[in-house]
Amino acid sequence: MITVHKLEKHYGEGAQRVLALTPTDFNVGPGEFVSLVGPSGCGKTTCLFMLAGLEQPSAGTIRVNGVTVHGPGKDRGMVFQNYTLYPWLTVRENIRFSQTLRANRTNRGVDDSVEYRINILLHLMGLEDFADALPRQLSGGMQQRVAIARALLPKPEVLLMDEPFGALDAQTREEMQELLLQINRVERTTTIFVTHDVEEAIYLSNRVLVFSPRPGAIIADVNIPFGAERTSDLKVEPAFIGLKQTVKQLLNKHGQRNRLSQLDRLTQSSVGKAKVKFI
Amino acid sequence: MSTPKLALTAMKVEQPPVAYAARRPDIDIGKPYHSVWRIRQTLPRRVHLSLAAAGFITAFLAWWITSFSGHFDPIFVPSPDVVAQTAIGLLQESTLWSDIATSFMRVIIGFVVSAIIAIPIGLFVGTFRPVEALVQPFTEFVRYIPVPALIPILMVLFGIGETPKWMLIFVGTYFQLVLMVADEVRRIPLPLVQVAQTLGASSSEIVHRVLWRAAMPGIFDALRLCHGWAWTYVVVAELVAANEGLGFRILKFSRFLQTPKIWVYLILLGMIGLALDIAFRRVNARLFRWADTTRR
Repeated sequence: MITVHKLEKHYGEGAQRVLALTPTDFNVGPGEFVSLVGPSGCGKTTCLFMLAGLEQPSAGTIRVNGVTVHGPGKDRGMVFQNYTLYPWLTVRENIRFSQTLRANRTNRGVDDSVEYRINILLHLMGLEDFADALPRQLSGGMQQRVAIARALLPKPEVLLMDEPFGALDAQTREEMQELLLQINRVERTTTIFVTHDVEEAIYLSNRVLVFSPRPGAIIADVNIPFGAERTSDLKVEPAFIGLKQTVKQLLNKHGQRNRLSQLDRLTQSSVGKAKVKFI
Repeated sequence: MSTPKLALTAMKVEQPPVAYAARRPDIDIGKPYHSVWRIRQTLPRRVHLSLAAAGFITAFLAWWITSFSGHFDPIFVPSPDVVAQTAIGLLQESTLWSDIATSFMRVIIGFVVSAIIAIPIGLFVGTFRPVEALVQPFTEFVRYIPVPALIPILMVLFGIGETPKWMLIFVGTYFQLVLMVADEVRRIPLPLVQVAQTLGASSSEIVHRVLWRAAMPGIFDALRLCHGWAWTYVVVAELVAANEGLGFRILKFSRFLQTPKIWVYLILLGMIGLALDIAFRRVNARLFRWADTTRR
């Protein structure tokens, strides 16, 4: 389905050259939900932007269904971290946007099947009552639901999500996770989901790819053995907590430990009593 | 316990604020919630209008006192009532109305032509880097040439008819407008463009369905600012060479030392500008309800 081969990214040239992503390989199967987790600046978002075709890889290839990615395309829908709705369009018009583009327009008239699908998505997202509202009248969580519906409308092969719930409060975030699970059961769209929240990644995914700090590299490919039917109760089960610990340890081993031990030394020398405990 | 003295006690929105600052000066250094002096505090419309009126009244009083103080020759500083009488007289003459019409027409032609050319060019400057590289440095260069300095050249090129006046307004607004429009376009968040790309939009669709739409309220605001300069340049052009129009009439009045009439025309120019500014704002708010114009 998706084949990433020796994908590499660096910024700048000469002395300013910074390696953002070391050569990376991974595959994603059809219908899979894969999360990329890692600390800030680890290259996970860069990786996603390259999958979307919005950033050019420095080396390596990305294939979606055997076709090499050379730029953005309607086969790969994207949901961004910040609210990206078109403020002059209503919720319904925002969702319909892709179908009004030349690339997707089949006939000039109103396509009933498109309207039918928009209604289904509005219903799925719980947005029926806000179909004619403008984005500025919606809360952040609702705006993100519209953005997801807009990305799903043209039935993309892959849905790419860049920390879509990062700007939301904890409660809305959990509601959105439930919603996303529900959508997955209905739509079964292959999804690549970038987050720095380990719990969120495990809860939503079939697989979690763990990134090391910059220069980013995949340090673990964690299989999540829970089925498609998940409820929030899962988050307190021992198996889930165990997985969470495993992933957090992986992240700590490669990242925070160094910085934390530095902090430890600093506080010991200046204050002399504060001690940083490792998880 | 003394309540803190507020300069604008009459303008407080609701109840007088609890004098928290007075009770605990050690912890609260902010203004009370209802103080109009809180940074970015909104002002009730009534208060806003009264203060705006007070601004006009202050200036009027200063003028009135100056003219009656006897320090100045009434030929140079005529009293408000003389100006008012002159205004009544002028309003009944057709000259004033034809002057307004002439100047208005020049502004409209010069400014509309300028906007029609500057908006698409600005849109492309803000969108495509090669266009930016080609157009922007030269535009910045011309922008710094004082426009009145171009009058001799414009007269040599276009004579003394209407064309040099239109050209002066055009030159005075076009280069500013291109840069302002380009800035508005550049200000549009990149993700709005990227979303369209991932949904299958072509470049031309992104330009006219995303960038143009998103920049419209800002461009409209740029027009509002720029049209003010159009009024400046029409008067400049008319002061140099014209046989009608508001600027020309002011120059003529000055030759005959008819200062009250000059004052009438100056006030008129200010009123026209203010009225058009308000009209632009109203239309902007009406056309672009989706944009949060209150935050601009």
